[in-house]
Amino acid sequence: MSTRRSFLKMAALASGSALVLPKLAWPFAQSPTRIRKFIVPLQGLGPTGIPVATPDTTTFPGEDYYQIHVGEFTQMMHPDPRGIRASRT
Amino acid sequence: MNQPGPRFIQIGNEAGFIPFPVALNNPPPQFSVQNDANGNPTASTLKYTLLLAPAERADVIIDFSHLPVGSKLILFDDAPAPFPQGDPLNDYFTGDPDMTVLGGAPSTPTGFGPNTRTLMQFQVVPRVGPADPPSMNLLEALAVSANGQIGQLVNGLLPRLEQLELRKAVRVRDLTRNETFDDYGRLIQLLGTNQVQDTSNGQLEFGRAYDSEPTEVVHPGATEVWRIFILTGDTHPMHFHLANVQVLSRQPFNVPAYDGVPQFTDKPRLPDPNELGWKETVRMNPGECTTIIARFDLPKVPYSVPTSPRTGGHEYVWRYHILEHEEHDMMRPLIVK
Repeated sequence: MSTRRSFLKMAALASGSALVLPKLAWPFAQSPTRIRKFIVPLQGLGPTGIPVATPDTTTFPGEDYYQIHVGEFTQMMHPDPRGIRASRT
Repeated sequence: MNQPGPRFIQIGNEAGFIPFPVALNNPPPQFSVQNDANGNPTASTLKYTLLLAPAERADVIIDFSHLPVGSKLILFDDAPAPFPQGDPLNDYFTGDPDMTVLGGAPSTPTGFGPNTRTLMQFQVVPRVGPADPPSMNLLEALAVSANGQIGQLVNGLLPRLEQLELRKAVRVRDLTRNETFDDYGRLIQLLGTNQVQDTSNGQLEFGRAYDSEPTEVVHPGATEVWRIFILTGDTHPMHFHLANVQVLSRQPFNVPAYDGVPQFTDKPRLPDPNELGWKETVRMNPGECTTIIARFDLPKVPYSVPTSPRTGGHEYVWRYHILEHEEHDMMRPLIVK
């Protein structure tokens, strides 16, 4: 059985976890190919992006009052993987 | 790739403002992993512009104003993963080798993913509206530069952050980060103290499971110093619930000889300038003791909170911030009573 110190030795010889872990699933092995880089801008803030919370200052005069709702919305994360849409709440 | 990037200044981290802005606009870093006498990679030899472990955050200001319209800049990640030694399994870039025969991904063509190095592209477009005030110059004057030179101090412009005092610490705890194998032969990560738990496989094992008897039991409002010894090969982001902490130092020690009493192999060194002030997640490097200080104030709430029937105290945790490790089983109770 490998132990803490033999792990350290192995780790020093080779690379991190590669030597002691079975390679059952490599990262991105099942990812779709042909996903283009740098074509989706960040959503940004404001009316066309992530809404900015604005305080209601009249309901409780002198206090900033926020009403935050949790709801479902859809967002296209990237157009290339066809038919995949992220639904977030 | 050999030019420095645009002016790039950090003003905050995951726990709020840092005490001084820190200028990060170094030339691109050169990674060269070296091993110490014990075969441990010495992360302290790594050079980096902005080093962030999972769950660490940086609030940065980047000055694009001097770049010509149409410029394209890449936010580039050259950190090896797992950090700091790296594994080619985790490194995806344009023109990388085709790994499909081994169960990996095909080669990445130009302009496409997966690419773990090119994180984001900035495109410089014509300015809209008046130019920003020259606050970047002021920030730069205040900033700590890469060689640790502290800039000009301007009273009232820097955040006033409390500095926890070593002399108020009521206890120094020695804690460990361990790696062994579980009953199913899977690698398992455990936190522990400096008390040996198991010698059955001929090694000193310090790790304790999450549901083992709590050992980190602190008094409400107490200040403590924790020295956390990393006995394994990777850099670990440690995260503390209830209290943010301050990093005091990092110091290499002899890992194979560790029996609960450390043999330090070099002088302690200070945290990076952008790790000063409060931290909620702290990088802890292999073969190093990272010393932190914290004050465990319970939150003041307008209701009473019953104590835990399991421990008789207020139960929090301290844990690893890579979640598959935290779930298996690198988390320990933090009891306040």
